[in-house]
This record gives sequence, structure tokens and C-alpha cells, in this order.
Amino acid sequence: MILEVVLQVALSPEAIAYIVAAVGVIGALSVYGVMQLDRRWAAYVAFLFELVLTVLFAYTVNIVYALYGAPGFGSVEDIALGVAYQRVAAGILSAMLLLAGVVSIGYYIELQKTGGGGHE
Amino acid sequence: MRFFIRLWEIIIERFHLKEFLEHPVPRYSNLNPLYWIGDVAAMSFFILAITGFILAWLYTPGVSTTVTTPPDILSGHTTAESYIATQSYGSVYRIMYLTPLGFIVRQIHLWAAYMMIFATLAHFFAKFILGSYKRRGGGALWLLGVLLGFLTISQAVLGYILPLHLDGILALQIGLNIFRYFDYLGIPVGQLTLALLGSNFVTDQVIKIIYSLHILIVPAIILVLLVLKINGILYGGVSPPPVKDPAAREKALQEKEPFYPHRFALTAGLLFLQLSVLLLLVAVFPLPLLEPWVPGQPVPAGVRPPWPVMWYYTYVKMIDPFISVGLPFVLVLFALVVPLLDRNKGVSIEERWVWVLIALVYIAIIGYGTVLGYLIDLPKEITPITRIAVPPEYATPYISTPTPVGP
Repeated sequence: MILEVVLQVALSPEAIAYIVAAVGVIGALSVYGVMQLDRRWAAYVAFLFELVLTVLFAYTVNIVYALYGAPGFGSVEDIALGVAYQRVAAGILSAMLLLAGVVSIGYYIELQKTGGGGHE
Repeated sequence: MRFFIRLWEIIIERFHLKEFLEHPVPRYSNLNPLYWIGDVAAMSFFILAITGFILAWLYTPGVSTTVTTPPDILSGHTTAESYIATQSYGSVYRIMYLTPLGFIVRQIHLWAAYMMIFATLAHFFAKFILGSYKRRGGGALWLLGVLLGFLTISQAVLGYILPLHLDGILALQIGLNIFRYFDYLGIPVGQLTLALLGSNFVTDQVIKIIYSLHILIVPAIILVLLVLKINGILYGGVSPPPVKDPAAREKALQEKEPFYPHRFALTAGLLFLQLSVLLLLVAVFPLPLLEPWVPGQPVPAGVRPPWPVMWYYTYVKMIDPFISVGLPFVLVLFALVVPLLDRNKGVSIEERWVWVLIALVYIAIIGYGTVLGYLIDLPKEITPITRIAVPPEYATPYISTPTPVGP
């Protein structure tokens, strides 16, 4: 019963994956673009997208726990669905870490350009 | 915010971290990607340690076949038939398919292991080409590096055995056959290994020994060697810049940056990107659990090893075992004596073209075997090109179907 409720209420893994892909690509391009103007603002933009991705990650992990905790979970179809949601969760984390990596390396590039006056 | 800044300052002061954080790092090593690959390997090790720690809570070693599992969905099974499997396989199945987020943790562990092997090999060739053993103390670090590479591959093979799938059993056979190769030369390493394992068959005891080696002994040795290596780099410096002109080399050596924040930001960025790539691989290319092995079952002909050892498997199948089984030892021994053979002072690519050529031959041997392993059906029919003649009495097959396991 709970399993059916979860499946009716939750977004499908494909839908979440498309949303994450859109947010991730727009986020990466925005951070990269703003970094050409001001590295500090790029960090703020990255933080904003990180927040959005964190919400999506929490939403997906919630579905994973609801699915695995539902009575009757264990059929091959249920496992395939659980794996699909976990793959999406991994993709969200990947996008989050990509943004963090771009900001860190952007900071190093700025230090290179300015001669490294020290950290903020 | 002011509180955190003050806290950071107190930590730096009380633990005397200022000297470490501000130690100078040559700028050329921050800008040249050939100097980053070792970091990737080291960070992979720590990612493996963390994910391995979580997996160790849930994994149960054992060969008893009381467990029944549904099919591995990532292997392309669509039927709902069930398998009889060992306790080890059953626990890995539970981690991967029946534990929330267990799938992600195990997939990160697998991909990080592959990444560590790839980074270790790439780091080896990068340092080979850069001639990093030429600087003061570089020979000792080179020796440590070769040992770490050997331990990395050993650790990967040990971990691959643990789920007790058919591929893992193949890895166990190949690993034991390498030890048996020494017996053939008159050194009873294979006999000693079997005596230490306590059985010629795969038993609970054997799996527990492999498990303890994988989660405790080998990682502990890797950690100690890694700390020694990092300490050697910290106080001995990184490899010299690959520049021929002495003035330009001196200039490159003089240009330094503090570790913090410069290299720290770069390393943190690389770590985030590495984790990002790992998770993308998990999301897009999840690795299947593979078919379970049941004690007594021979490994079918179609089972192949994973890509890091595919080149070796190809040569074992293609070339006479007397030559091919010993090939890794030849490659490792040669790598160990490279600093003694390469006495030329030059570090630029133009001055080291012979050694660059040798590195390319190394890469070609491994690359050719790997690609061929995926392209042809093994065992391949031996042709005059692939066969290296040896006396008939030495032509003992080291790789064969496994000995049936007794009750």
C-alpha cells in the first residue's frame, strides 16, 4: 500500500533526472560565466545552485528511504526502481561537487592572477 | 563568521600548522597536470577507505550456500528466477539492492578502486617520463611508489574476490597461480601461501583471511607507505621541472607558492571534480554484481577479468604460461631497478627520449593486451606470432578449471 502511495505521489526518476540536468547545466554555465567577471559573485551563484540541488537531493533520498521502507518491497521491479532513484541521487551529488570544484579551481586561478595576497 | 575565523586561528596556532600550511610549493608543479595524478590516487585511497568502512558494516564473509537471491538486474536479467548463492554474495546483494543508498556506496567503492588503479598507473608513467627518481631522495620515493602500485593491484584483486561471484573466483585462481609460478622456479611460495590459507579449497577460513587482508593488513601497509611518501615529498620536494635549459630550470625552481591557500584550493578543487566524475560514472555506468558462484562450480569459459588485469589474462591465454605468468614480475622488477639503470643527469624529454620510449613500450604492452582481451575470444588459437616457443616440459597450464570444492 505504502509502496503504491510512494509511486503515485513521487516524481519519476526520469523527471527528476531532467530537472537536475537542467539545473546542473544552467548552474555550471552561470558560475563559469560570472567567474569571468567576479569570482566572489560566482561563489554566491554557485551557493544558490547548490541549495537548489540540495533540495532535489533531499527529495530523492526521501523517496529512496520511503521505497525501501515500504512493506512488500523486494520484487525485481521495486529494486530496479530503487536503483533508478539512487542513480539520480548520485547524479545530483555529482552536479553539486562539479560546482564546488569549479569554484575552488576558479579561486586558485584568481590567486595565480593576483599573485596570491592570501585567503579571504 | 568571526567566531569561525578565530577558531581556525587557534587551531593553526595550537597545533603548529602554520609551517605546514605555508610550506612553499613550486609553481610549475601546480600548473602541470602530470604533477596532480598522484593526488588523485591518494584521494581515491581515502574515498575507498571511507566507503569500505561503511561496506564492512554490512558485508558478511562466508561460503555457505543458504542464501537465495533474485537475479542481478544490472546484468540484463528479466526473469524472476532465483539463484542459490554463497553468504558473501548474498550480503553484497543485500548491500547493493536491498539497502537504501547501499547501491551508491558500493558503486563509488568500485569506481574509486578503478580510478585508483588508473591513477596509480598514470602516476607511475608520469614519474617515469619526468625522471622523478633523479632528484635527491627520489630513488627511495620511487621504490615506495612501485611497492604502493603493487599493493594497490593486490588490494583490488583481494576486494574483487570478496563477493564470491564467478569473476572473483577467477581472480582468486589467477592470483594463486601467480604464487604457484614461484614453486615452478624452485621457490615454494605457492606451497607457503596455501599452507597459510590452510586449505586448497575456498572455505570460510580462506574468505575470512582474504577479508582481513583486504580491510586491515594491506590498507594499513598502504597507509604507512603513503605517509612516508608524502613526508618525503614534503621535505624533499617534488620532481624537477622537465626543462633542458639550466637557467629556465633554476627560474622554475625559484618560483614558489604557499601550500595554503594556493595548492590547497587546487587540491580541494581536484577532489571535488574527482568525486563529481566518480558519481557521474555511478549514475551513468553502474557496474553489475555479476553471476554468483556456488562451491564446486567451475568458472565458465566466457567469464573475463575486469579491465585492470585484462591485459595479463590475455597474455596468459595467448602466450605459453611459463613466460606469461611471470610477466608482471619482470615488469615490477624492471621498474624497481630503473633508478639504477638511468644514470643520465638530464630531466627534459629531449634528453630522456630512450626512457620515454621504454615507458611507451610499457604502455603498449598493457594497452595491447587490454584491447585485445575485449576484441578476441579467449583462449585464442595460438599462432606463430603469438606463440613464444619454450621447452615442452615447461608447457604446464597454470590457468585451468578450478579444483572442485569438497563438502
